[in-house]
Amino acid sequence: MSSHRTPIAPPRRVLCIDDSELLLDRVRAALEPQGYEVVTTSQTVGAARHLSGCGLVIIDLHMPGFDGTAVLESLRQGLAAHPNANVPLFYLYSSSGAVAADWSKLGFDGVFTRKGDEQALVPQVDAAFRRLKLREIAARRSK
Amino acid sequence: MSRPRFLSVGVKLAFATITVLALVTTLVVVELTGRERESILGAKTASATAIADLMVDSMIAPLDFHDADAVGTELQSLRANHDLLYAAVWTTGENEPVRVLSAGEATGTPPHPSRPSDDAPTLTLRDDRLEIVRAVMRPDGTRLGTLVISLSLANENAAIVSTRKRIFWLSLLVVAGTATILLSIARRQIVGPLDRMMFAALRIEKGERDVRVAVTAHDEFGRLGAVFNDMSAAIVERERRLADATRRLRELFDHMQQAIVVFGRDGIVEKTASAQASIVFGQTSGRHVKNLLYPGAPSLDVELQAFLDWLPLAIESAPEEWAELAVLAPKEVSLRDPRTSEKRYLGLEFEPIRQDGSVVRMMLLATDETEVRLLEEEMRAQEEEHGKQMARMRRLLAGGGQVFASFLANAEERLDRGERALHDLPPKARPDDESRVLDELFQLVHTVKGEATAFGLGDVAIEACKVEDGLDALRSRSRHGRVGRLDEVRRELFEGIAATRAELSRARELFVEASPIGRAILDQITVRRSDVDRLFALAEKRDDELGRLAHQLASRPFSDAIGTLIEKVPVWADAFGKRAVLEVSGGPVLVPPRLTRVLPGVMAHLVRNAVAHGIESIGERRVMSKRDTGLVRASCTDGDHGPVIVVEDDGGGLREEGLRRRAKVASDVPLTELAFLPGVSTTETADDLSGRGMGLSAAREALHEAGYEVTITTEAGRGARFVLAPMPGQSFANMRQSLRPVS
Repeated sequence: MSSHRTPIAPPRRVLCIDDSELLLDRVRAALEPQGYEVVTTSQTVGAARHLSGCGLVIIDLHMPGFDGTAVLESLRQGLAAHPNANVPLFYLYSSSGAVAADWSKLGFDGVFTRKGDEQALVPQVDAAFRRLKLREIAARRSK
Repeated sequence: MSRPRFLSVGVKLAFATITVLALVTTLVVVELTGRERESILGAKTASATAIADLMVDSMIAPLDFHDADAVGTELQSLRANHDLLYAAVWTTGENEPVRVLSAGEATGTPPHPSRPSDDAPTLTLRDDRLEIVRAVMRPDGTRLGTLVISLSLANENAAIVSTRKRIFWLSLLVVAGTATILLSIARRQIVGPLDRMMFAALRIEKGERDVRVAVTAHDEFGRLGAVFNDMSAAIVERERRLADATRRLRELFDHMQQAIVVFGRDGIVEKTASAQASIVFGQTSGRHVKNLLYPGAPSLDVELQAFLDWLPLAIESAPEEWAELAVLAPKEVSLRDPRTSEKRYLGLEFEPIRQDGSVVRMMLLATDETEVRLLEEEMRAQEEEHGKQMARMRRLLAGGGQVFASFLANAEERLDRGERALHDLPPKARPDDESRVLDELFQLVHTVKGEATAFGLGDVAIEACKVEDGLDALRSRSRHGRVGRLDEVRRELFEGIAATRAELSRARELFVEASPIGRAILDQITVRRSDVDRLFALAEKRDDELGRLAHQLASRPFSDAIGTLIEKVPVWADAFGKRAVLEVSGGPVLVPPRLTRVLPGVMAHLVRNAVAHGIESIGERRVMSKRDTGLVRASCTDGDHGPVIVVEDDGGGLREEGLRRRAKVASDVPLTELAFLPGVSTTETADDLSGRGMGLSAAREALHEAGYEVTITTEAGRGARFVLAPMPGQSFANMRQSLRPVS
């Protein structure tokens, strides 16, 4: 990766939820050298306990036995119980354009496309963290 | 709105001049002709009055005597006057005139004028004639009669008309002359200079440079011209400087290979400032900057979304907010080249252009970083390839390194054999010999290729395959009776074999690199440990060749005893809030069998001891001007009587006071002995990492059993050094000769 890339200031923790350990490893391998702290889990039960300090949550939509929407719902409910908690961005990780097009209906903040191409993931994660920070600035300005 | 019609100031001046002169001329003509008429008529009246008075005097006598003929004679004297229309005389009380003198019918005057109603003397001036009426009186005042004379004014009128005409033409001439002079002055002095300046201004407007007007007159226009020239020169100079600055800026931009575009608050690109911009983005003007950076991106594209989140905040940002927003702008995009459709990486920078603090435009600088990125990717790919090869080698090692080692040895031997056969074949050999050598060489290279492929050594296989192809072509020729070709390609064959050998040796180096015991891996076979132990137990005491061989077989490389200590040291240190690393040298050196059994435990203990008690905390080390990371070094070298193992650290050394207090022994026991006394620990507090003083004494015990002794040297503040060497009288050196790996 290019050396001039300066990772965004904290929080830079990313939680990635996917049933494939292989994919999680590759995501970690792609993001960690860029200065991100990567937390991964292939367990949907109890995923909420990894949430603290995360700025971004990346969720696979189709996993055997459950679907990403349900995970998202449970995570959001968990956050709702703690009004002071930092709300991260929830992004769908998908290679399918058709599924990705429904992201907002499914309750996601956005979609990371080209799943499987970890090099393409890095700029997308960078962009998501920029959005997180921009959201804060916009909120501050509207006050 | 239609523009008012152009009317030259010259025309206006001429019009005004002519109007004024025409008025003046009219007044002059009227005045002059009036006076002329008065003077002519005045003269006529005077002469007529004189004639009438003379005639009245001469009429007194004839009328007094009532002599009509005399009256007629007197009247005849008037006939000489060419202007006379008629003359008549009446006696008082008579209606018919006594006599009438008429100028004749030619004059058209009435032949019988009527008697004037009033006898009073009058002078009547009509348009065409002059009538004088006079009373004829005796000297005593008795009225005798009335005289009427009528004179024609035709000559006078003609004279007046002629004079008027002359005056008119003269005036007209004067007017025309004056107008001409005035107009020519106006044209030369006013209209001309103004015209020249106007055309000069038009030329400047059209972009001509160095436009000047000729300054000749020394008047207001001359001054105006000089001012105009100065202004023109100033404009030219300013434009030149502006053009110069623009050119230099553009050159700078082009030289920087940066694509520079400027877009407005609405995101629409206004102008392209560098040539590079159209190369990178194609057409830019009028397009939205998002379409330049993310062409064809769907609305869900997170990079596009982040940019669109950023843009309005950046546009509305105050100067002090910019720093925060600048880091949130996209730093890089990848684009397809519009012409070659190759991927380009662009580094991005945004710079706001402000007026009164608010952003009016934004400048985007895009730097092509494609080459750098491709280089990085290539390096990464190479690293990955190297990683894959290493992984393959590890698999080979795990599956029995000796299989691979024997392949390497056999393959090299085959290449040697082939090379020798080719070398021994004389030039212009008999066809039979040539084809025999070719067949043999082909067989050998073919086997190398097949085996290399089986081990996943693609590079070796490719080189072997090249040689094989060349040989195949030669063989098919020689089967068709065409020989002698071998000599031509002999050099190529040698080169091909050399290339294959080079790839083979690269594979071997990689294999050695991946091996935990280094080069010794090339001389290894797999045997069962229990067999070796049994053999050693049986032959240990023998002092012959068999004993030595058993010894060798049961020996293990020093690296086996180190195991995973290299990875554990930083973790142990971390638990203490310290930093430390372990350096190992002499990994391939063989350790005698009895030592082999105890060495892993001893090494673990000594190294752990060094980390726990030897290496100081980071703070202490900084006070001592040492590097933050402590160093523990474990080395194994061949000594005269067998391998000597050293474990040393650059820590604080043994703490003598503490040791003595706890050991409670006589003060003459040397410090280096104290550490080994049972119950003595090198530090004052016990914890999980360091033992309770049992470790070192137990370790010494175990070493003694293996024929080794341990000694300590220490220097306060500089570290401690544990040396494990064969006990006096023990020698393990006899195995060294045969233990050296065959290189």
